[in-house]
Amino acid sequence: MSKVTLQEIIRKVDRLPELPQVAIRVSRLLEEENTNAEMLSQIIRVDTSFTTQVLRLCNSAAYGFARRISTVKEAVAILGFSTLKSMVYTIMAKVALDRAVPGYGLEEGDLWYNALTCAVYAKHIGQRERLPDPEKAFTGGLLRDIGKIVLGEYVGANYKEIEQLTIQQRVDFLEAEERVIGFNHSLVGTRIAEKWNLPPLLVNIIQYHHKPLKLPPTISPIDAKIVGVVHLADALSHMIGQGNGSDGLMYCLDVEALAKVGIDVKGNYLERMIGELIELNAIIRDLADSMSGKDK
Amino acid sequence: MSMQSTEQVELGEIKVTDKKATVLVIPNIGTAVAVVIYDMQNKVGGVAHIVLPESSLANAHHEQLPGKYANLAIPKLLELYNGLGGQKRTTVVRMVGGAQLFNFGGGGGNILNIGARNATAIRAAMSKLGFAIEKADTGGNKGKALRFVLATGQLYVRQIGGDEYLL
Repeated sequence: MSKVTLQEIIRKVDRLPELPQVAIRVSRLLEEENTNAEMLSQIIRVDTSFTTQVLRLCNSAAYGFARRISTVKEAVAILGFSTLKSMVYTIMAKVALDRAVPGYGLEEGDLWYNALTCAVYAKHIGQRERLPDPEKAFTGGLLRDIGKIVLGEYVGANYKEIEQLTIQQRVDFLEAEERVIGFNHSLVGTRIAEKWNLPPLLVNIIQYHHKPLKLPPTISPIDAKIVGVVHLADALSHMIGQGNGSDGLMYCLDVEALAKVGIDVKGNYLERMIGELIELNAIIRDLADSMSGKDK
Repeated sequence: MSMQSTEQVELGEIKVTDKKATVLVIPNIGTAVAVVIYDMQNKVGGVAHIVLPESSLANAHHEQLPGKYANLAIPKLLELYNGLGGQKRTTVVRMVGGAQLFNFGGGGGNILNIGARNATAIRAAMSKLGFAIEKADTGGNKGKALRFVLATGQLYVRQIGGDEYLL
């Protein structure tokens, strides 16, 4: 096939739905130094559907608060900024990802569910790896595959060719996407992240979540480790099979790159970790249900 | 067929039933292995969605899933199956899944072969109890979905993104 041009990708990215304004404003405020709880609750309160989403999430078992949280002000006070931030990204991610992507063999809800799974797994691994702020791994896990919503159409049209390449040339799915289409979903995701003005660490995670070795040398060791954690969570969520698509396990887990950022997965690390992660699946289900209003 | 009731078997879960209207499904099996047991005569059947080969690495404090480890899941599956009247001589056992992460150039070696080790551990645990695996669709780099129809014993398998076939 003739490869896709950058212009065409940009046109598609421009046509994506806008994210909820309130979520964007809150996430920006959360990046700023002098933000306080009062400012945040004032903005959130104005949007009733966003408020409902925040309260539903707060009251889901995943966050495990003993008493029911019924106002935004309470929510902001009790959650802390870091958790609130990942909650806001969760709500944004659902808007973007809760759709079918037939090109990747993903039915409606699959991509979203896989994103949520990767996020929860990344946070758990981040805690195990003693990241100072595991919520950053959570948001990275949530948004890493955002590029699939645009690239899916092209993957679908060229699936046979991509699959043949993975078999005959022994390259992973990401590499085959790039060779056949001219872009892979990480690069397309980076464009989307820029359009949506996501913070630099998230852009790096989206761009390098398959290839942490290619991270720019200017990145801090902690941020590099976060990208490594998301890479590992991504591979493990594919292995465990939570909502993944036709690219499935044609994924290259870069063990050396992980070692370089300080994550040693040799020995029985992966087995042990899988054992821990699947215990979180009930929480993930609950989180997904509470966001679609299926909770009690 | 409108009376069918579809139930999903989650990772680490075991479901055994004698209710003929039941269809047991797993939408996505990766390195895990689904063991499907069925008594053709008495129409009792079940699925164990097994995640890891053996329990020696388990942290006893947070183990809640009976089907998580092959060495514990298989005896449990058979206990439940026998409890509902499953008879050995009319039993057929099949298994699906056990894929491996594609890892050309990524290093990792045998730490990634969890799928194959799951399949081996299941065969061993089954053989210890006197059962053979009659049909297996394991390995490869693709996730699979399964649909097990209790009324007929038919086991449908599909590679994610592909078409369904009968195992």
